[in-house]
Amino acid sequence: MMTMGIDVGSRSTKCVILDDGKLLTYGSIETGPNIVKTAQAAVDAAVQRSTGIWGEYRKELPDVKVDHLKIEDMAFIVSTGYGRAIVPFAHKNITEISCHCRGAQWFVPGVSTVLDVGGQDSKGIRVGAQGEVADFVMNDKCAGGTGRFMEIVAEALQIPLSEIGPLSLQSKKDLPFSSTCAAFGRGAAVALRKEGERKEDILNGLHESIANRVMALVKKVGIADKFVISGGIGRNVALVQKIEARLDGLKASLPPEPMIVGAVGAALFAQDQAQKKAQ
Amino acid sequence: MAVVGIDLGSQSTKAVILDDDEILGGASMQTGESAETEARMAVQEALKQTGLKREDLEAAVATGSLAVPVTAALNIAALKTRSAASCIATGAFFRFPQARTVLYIGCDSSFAVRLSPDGDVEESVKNERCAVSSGALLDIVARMLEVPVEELGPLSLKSTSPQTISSRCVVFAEAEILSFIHKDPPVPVPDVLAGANQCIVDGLWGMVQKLGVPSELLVCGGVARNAGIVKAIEARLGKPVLLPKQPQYVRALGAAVFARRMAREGVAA
Repeated sequence: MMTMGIDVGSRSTKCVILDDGKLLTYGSIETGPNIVKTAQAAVDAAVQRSTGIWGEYRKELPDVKVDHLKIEDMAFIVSTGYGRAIVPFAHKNITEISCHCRGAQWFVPGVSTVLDVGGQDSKGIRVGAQGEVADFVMNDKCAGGTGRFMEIVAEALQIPLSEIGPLSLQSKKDLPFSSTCAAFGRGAAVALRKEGERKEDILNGLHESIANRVMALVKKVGIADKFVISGGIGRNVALVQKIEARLDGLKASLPPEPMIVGAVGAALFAQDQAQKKAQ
Repeated sequence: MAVVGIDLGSQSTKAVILDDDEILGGASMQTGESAETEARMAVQEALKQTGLKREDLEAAVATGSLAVPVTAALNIAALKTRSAASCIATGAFFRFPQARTVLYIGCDSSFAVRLSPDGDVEESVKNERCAVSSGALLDIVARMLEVPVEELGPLSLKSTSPQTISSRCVVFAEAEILSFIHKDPPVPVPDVLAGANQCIVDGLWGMVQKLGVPSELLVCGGVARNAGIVKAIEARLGKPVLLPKQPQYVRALGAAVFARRMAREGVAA
């Protein structure tokens, strides 16, 4: 029995197909202005096994043919993410908080805290003893602690987003990044370049500032073992390192494909629904 | 006794020449690569309006976000720097001694300053952490809607039903405005602009409230030239604001008043 989870994020849309609870395939594309078209294109990406801008697959997939699969083949489809209410082929939509909580447990059984930082929001989730959402905090009011801030600075420095992590690791200087506002981020980065500062040092300072921001957020729900990092920041090695340094000795668990955690959660909820229907 | 005040803002550099109580000249240059060059050019432009020469200037005070590096380059014997808040207070007090609270709105920095009866700074608040209470969003909408910045105010006043912008972050507001433009049919430009004004003024009003709602509010800075912003502030205040002519020069004027004080006290000699 196949089920689908589709996570329509502000910057990218992820589609996951499970077969009896096992990962069959997934894909992603950039979120376009038209959510309906975007959702359909994300399904196409999943059956063609394409992850667009992310590059190669980090999570092993079973060696079976999937490119013939269609929406009609799915027993149940759950949508999540900021565009979840307008996916026309979804049978149900569930909040991204619930889906991230569920997906994180699939990747890391026994997870206690989830930190998810996406394109335009960041959230901290405390997982209860039964795997339920015990508490959560969310920042979707300010772009300061989100992927958008990194995107703006990366653009100003003319570095692809995927390279800011590795480049930042080369820094040997503590250079504070003074702006906490993403709108001022471009100006701050350009000013530092004019003063002759190196790109890696600017990025290092930026990551330091964002790490402080997101940790202040997630500390509100409490940090405990096991601590899972999901969302786009999971692909930024420098930021992951800085977050780990702030975990008071705990080690962060990083799902191999941190961006599909919400979509996996949605697909698992879809499976529950399909089983309920079958009974 | 002529003196000059220089305001090095993030978007433009201004110079005001003051002789006793008379403003002799003022000029504004776009801030670009080198703060030193633009400061020198602004002073030169202002001097042209007065018939004076650089040597006639007895003292100078620089202020603004880039005030420090120009000190050496201007070649005026007595040149000091003063904080932005104190120059705003002094410039505002020079124009309107009855002003008790001043709201300065710049391109990306804003200040709310409460004055003592003598025109000194009693307390001030700056928008350090967030761009929403500044002109930053206006720059963005001007670019997105392809409307020249000076036309934003008049155009926004034509709005019949302002479009509410729910974001309280410039970056997210930009995305929201983009969706209004791409709507079918698109939200009329004046309504988008009026919504953006409201969004900015909501942020600014939060700063003013930290100092207590004033009896007399003076509004200045480059963004005060936008009639739509001024109107939205007046709606919050419930009465007209004090609006100096050429409000963008208030901070440079305040710097000039400090320079005059230096010259009178004989620092220049």
